[in-house]
Amino acid sequence: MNPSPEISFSGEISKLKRRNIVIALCRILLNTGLIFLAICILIFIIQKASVSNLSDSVSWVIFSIGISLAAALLLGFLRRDKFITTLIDIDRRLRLQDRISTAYEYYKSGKKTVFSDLQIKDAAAKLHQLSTKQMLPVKFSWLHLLLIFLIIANGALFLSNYLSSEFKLTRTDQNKLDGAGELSRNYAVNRLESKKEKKKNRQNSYSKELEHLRTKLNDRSITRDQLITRLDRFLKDVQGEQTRLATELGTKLKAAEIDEMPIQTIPKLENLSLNQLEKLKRILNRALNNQIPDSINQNIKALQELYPTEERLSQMIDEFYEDHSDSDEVAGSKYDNTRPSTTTHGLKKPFGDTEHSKIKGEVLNRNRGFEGRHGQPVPEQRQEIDRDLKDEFGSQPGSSSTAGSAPSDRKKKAKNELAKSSGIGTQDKMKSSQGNNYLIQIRSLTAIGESELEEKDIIRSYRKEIEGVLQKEEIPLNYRGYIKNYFISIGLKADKNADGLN
Amino acid sequence: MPMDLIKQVDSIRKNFDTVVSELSKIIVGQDVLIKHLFTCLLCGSHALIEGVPGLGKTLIVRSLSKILDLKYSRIQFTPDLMPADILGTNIVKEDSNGSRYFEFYKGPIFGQLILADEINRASPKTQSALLEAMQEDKVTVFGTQYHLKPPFMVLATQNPIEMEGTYPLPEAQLDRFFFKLRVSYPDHQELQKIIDKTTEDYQYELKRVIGADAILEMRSIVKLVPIATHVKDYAIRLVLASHPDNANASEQTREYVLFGASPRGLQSLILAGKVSALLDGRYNVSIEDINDVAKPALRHRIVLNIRGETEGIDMDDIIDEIMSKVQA
Repeated sequence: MNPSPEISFSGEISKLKRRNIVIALCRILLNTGLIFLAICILIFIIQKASVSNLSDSVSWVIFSIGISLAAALLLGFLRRDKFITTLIDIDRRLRLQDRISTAYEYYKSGKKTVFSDLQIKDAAAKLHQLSTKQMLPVKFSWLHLLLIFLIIANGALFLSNYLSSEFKLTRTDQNKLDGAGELSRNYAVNRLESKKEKKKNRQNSYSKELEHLRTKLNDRSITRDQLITRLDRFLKDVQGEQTRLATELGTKLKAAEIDEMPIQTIPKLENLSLNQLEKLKRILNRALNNQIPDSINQNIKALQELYPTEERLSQMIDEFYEDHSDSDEVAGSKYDNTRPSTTTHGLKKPFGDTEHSKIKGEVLNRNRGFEGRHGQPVPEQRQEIDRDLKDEFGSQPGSSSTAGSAPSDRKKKAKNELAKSSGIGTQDKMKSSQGNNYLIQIRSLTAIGESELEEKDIIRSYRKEIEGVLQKEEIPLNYRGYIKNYFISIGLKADKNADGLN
Repeated sequence: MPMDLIKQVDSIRKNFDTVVSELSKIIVGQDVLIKHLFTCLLCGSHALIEGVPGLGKTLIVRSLSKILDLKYSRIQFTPDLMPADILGTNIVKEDSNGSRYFEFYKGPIFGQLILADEINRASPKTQSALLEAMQEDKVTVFGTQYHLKPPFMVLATQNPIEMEGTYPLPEAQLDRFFFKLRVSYPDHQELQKIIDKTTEDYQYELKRVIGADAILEMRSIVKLVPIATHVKDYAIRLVLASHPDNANASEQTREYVLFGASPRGLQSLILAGKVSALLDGRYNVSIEDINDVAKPALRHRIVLNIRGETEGIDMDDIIDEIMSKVQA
């Protein structure tokens, strides 16, 4: 039994409506895709222009999809066609001569004419002959073409972006790296300044202490033992500082995995020719901007002549010590307890020094104290002078092995060298710490009591010059790697040990 | 009812086919003209047939009158033709008692199928005598109204206006014609057939196939044919586009048209579209039906301006442009 024309027509219309909804959804998806891909290209352009870095955010991608979907829905809503329009389009396209649309209009409105049933029946028959795909085909429009183009464009952009990120830095990455470099540079500068400040503070404290000691030395009211005790305490402090520095250096070298490093040795002054001494003088002149104090500006040859005098003084000190050995037994035993810390500091085998050398060390320490009083113990300036010396006389890399594991060649040069270089006292001290030995060089450029100028003027002048040199100082090339590694290691631990380091 | 309706629709098509086959006995070609004449018959309206002399205008109408079982009248319009010659007049008569009285003598208008041959050769005054009859199917003579017997149909022929000795029909008169049909010049094959049929011993006999009742019955069906809103809308936009001051008017319309089509033009479009649909075997009017009847329904209702007249603008070109411009 055939269904009535109205039921048949209604069924066909329902099929068409379902198909129409599917097509509308496809169109919305198409528009969503188009808008989203267009936004992706826009984001890529914005990112390349470094206006903003949006693509990293997943939420932004979701937001883009949301915007695209909303826009497509709005577009679909605004451009939605009435179903009768779809039917009219079907009539036109399939040359149905407005059968379907007229029948639907009369069917929908319920108009009853003598032709209604005939017309609906005619339309249903026509609809039945056609498939829904024929009536509502999926058309390949320019929007599909645009979608393909956008997909290709996005793919190309993604590939180019991916490849460029693999082999070269983007502008953003470059900016990041530049920023990181700037931060690390600032951090290193701050650290350097902080270190300098600390060092300066420490030097100031030592200077004050030396000044205090000098006052005490001039004070005739205190006994010799008290004086020696104070000197010894100060020496312990200084050597304690040296120990700390050596430990720190050892730690840094270990951190930098440096087992051996060349040690620059100072040429022996007694072996220098006159020509070399003249060169040395020129170096000193250059280092001090041609303002060498008169105490230094002596004939170096004359200074060399002072060597026998110094020898003699040394002998006198030895004799003096021997004369008072009994009375100073307590002090000597105390010395024995403290001296190792000042010279060997627990080394299994110290330098093999005798008491003579110990006393001599005290004298030298006095010289060093005087040196400090003149504001001379500035390592940076010494490095400068070392460089000049190295340039002029050639460096003699020492054979100091792994820090503290073997005796240095200090023995070869320390005693004689320091003795001969009156006024320019140079001492290599071997400092051990937990089995690690380091060579610490402390030198003086002035001689006690030889200056014709006022001491204060000399100190002021020296400080001024030294500060100037410090300001101009540059990090030597061969130390840059170590310094860089040091700061890198600090940087890695900065978060954890910030308080401790500072 | 549907079964009867189907039969009635079928009978319309059958009658049309019969008319065409009968006319084809004497008329060569002119299929479109015959279809449009049949459309006018079913719509209960009148047609103006235009063409140069010798194309068979009169022959077509005369043949049609023989096929249709209708009372046929022929009025040959001449410059001296008077309205009374068309409508009729009162004449004085004398009875057996010798008393005289007026008796209305019916003119040729009192037929069912009227051939107004060369209508533009008569003066406008005479032409206007047809106005009431064509519009209201009645005539008024000396204050007395006389109803015309349905179906009443005027088929007028005219020569092109630019020919000598013609009077252009007034717009009001033209508007009352449902269609203005043009008789096209026969092509080579048609001319061959014309020669064969007219110069040889060709015998033919036209049969009366459709009576007045059948025509009236068909007319009653035509108006019931459904038409969709969008098709009506299209017809309206076509008519509106024929007005030069309309926003959708074409360029030619603005340039050459003085007046656009009247509402009668729209009525003609719709009704003729319905007949066209029925003749095509459909139960609804389509855009194609409207387009099919647009030219005959509108060409005499659009009035050219001076520029259009002097430049000899063909009205069909303007209508073609209007149809192409108006979105279906």
